[in-house]
Amino acid sequence: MREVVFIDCTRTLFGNIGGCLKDFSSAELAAIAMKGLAEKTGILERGKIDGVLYGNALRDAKTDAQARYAVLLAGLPIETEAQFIEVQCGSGIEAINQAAAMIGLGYADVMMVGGCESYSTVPAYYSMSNEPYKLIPPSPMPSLLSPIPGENINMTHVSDHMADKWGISREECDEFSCRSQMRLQEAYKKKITGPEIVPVVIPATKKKPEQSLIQDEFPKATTTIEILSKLRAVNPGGVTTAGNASGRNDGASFLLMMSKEAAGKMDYTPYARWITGADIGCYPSEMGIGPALSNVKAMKKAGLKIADFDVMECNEAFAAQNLSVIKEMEKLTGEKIDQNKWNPNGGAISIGHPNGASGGRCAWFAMMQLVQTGGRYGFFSSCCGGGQGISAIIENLRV
Amino acid sequence: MSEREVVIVDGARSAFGTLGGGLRYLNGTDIGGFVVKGLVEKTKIVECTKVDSVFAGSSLADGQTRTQTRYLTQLAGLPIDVSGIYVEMQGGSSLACINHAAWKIKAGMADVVIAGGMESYSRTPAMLSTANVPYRALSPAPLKRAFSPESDRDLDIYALSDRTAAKWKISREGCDEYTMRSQELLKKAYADGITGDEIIPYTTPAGGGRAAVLADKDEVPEAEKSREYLQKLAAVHEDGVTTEGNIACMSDGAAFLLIMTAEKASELGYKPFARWIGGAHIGIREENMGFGAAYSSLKALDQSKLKLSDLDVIECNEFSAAQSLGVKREMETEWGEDIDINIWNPNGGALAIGNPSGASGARTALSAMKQLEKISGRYGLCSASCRGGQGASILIENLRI
Repeated sequence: MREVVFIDCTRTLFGNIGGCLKDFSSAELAAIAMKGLAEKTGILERGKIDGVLYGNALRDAKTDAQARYAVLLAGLPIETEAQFIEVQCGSGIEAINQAAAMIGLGYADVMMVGGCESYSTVPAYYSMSNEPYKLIPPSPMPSLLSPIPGENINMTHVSDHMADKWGISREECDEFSCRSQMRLQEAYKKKITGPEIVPVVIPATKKKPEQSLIQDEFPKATTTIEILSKLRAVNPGGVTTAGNASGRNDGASFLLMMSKEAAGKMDYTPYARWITGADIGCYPSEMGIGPALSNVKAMKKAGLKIADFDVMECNEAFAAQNLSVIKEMEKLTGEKIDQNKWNPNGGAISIGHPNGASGGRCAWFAMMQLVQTGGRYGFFSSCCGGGQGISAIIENLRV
Repeated sequence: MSEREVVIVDGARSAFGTLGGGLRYLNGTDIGGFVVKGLVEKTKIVECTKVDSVFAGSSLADGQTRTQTRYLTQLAGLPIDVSGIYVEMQGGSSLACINHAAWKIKAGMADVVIAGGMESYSRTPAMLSTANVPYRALSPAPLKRAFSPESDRDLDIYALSDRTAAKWKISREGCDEYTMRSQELLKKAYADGITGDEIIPYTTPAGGGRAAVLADKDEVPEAEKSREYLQKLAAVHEDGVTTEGNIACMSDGAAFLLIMTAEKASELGYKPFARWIGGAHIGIREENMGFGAAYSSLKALDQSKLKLSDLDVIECNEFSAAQSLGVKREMETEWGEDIDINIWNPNGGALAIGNPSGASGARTALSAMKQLEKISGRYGLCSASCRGGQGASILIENLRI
């Protein structure tokens, strides 16, 4: 297998549902990020992009061939192949692992990989197969996560169930969430994130001048534990609140991956190299534990221990979910996890969670942390609605 | 690490249903679920070893879930730790799934994968906006589906078919004859055992006031089109050659392959049909998408250092008669070699059996494997063109010698 490296990343701001990105479909946001990445890296002048692997959870408002549509919209060359990968919130990381396989084996040299989501424009599904002349109104179709009785529970119930099973208290959840907010604010200051944001330009209208949007909408810089503690639990008796859960957000993030040789030929200095990836299923009712299992699976493949890792990214679906993963990983490995290395720059609870984009964002956060701390190994991981975990392990090359 | 060899051990499919036919009460994931379940039972794979993942794709949204493949793994009754990965590439989805499964296996991230695809046109949902402006007496409007951001390049399937005909001057007569050929060859394929045995029958249980519905035979061939019927049809677009009769119809169905390392197959005592030796995808202008299969095939041949003349069977999913004939001419011209028509979709294709878009690629792989076994051939190519302008291909080598 050839060595596979990461060259750069571009993302849009992460907007709130119904917020500043409300009029963009997921493919349109992806195209902005992809175009920005191509321009930033000059990849089309130095070489070519063989393909795009594009993650998304909830599908696109305008097209079912959304990966290809985004490639066309971004103005990438016609021959650029594209596939839409869906593993819910793990889509971006799965895309990264698939791209690494393609490049490592020599079926591609350069891939653009990541994902996007638009909650604002997400389509609702309606039946086209209702029998006529029976007074059956057009009916919405369900969005189920599992056919197994008792397993098709919604995300906040998953979070509360995990808090119950792994013994996570409301206070711990709020503390974790406040920490996520604080860490993100520091991350902006340290430029862990920010420089990779490409503006979303909204053309001038009769009423408004042109807008160039670059600011994440979801973070709450002035959060305190006291404020979080006052929020009502979503479900009676539960620990999950709007403040200790990830958001529903719009955004896209893409990375440029290539073989080490291609990077050398085209004069790129990679940030990191891909070591291995893993994916695994788990019970949908505790889908949040997935990354504990996939991280341990990946670590075993790589022959690495917790102590080897200088950064550990685990997408913050919920504070209860993340804290459960920490506990489970400690139990499975017999090692203690230093939480200063766990999502050290905040996560989905503070920055928001456009499902298909979060995997790529976690990857970049891991790489930036490694660069700034001179660390060696990092992993990034995510749970997936429906019960899965997906992980990837990287090694810093900017030492 | 020595290179891992990827083999196709077996496969299964559903009967392919007509729109509103025998599979009409099942979502795409339901159809995929019972096919994967049937494949697992047929091969006893779960009893023998760990299945790592299912890779499944479809063109369209599913009527019951947004996490199609993960949902399917659970419907199939697979162990809870089997991951479910969805890959969409329109008509190339199942071929892309086979390729991505092979790449993950070769890269050491999996040993045993079930790969293929599913489609239910009968039950795919309409999309409506959740961002309707309230209090303005505005009705939620259906969200139209686009395959290109440029509306003048976003042609309908008949116009796409006509474009391939126009480039190579394929006649209306040629299209209708090719359609007859597909039907005749499919009939022979059932008789020869090339296809039919791999169908997993399914009975949708009675319920909600309706009787049980059995789906155990392909339904499109039941409405076989006569030459006279084809000739009488009007072309959909003026000056075109494509009619409702010489384009593949939308169909419901699923098809899956059991894929693993050669080592694992040998260890477990399986006799694989074929070895996966390569695969490729490529982009092409949206309005020329019919030719996509030609270019992904040439890319795959190039990568594997094979020539057209090395191939003993070529499956090219029959989007339409014009498209199939056009891709053949395009490949011959680009490569500078003629293709013997007798190796081209020798067992009929989507024109006769129907096109459940997400599943068709995997069906062509099943057909190619059986054909290679029958004729003791060596190499086979399976390909499909994809809406939005892409092509997907896989290359296989016969192991049933």
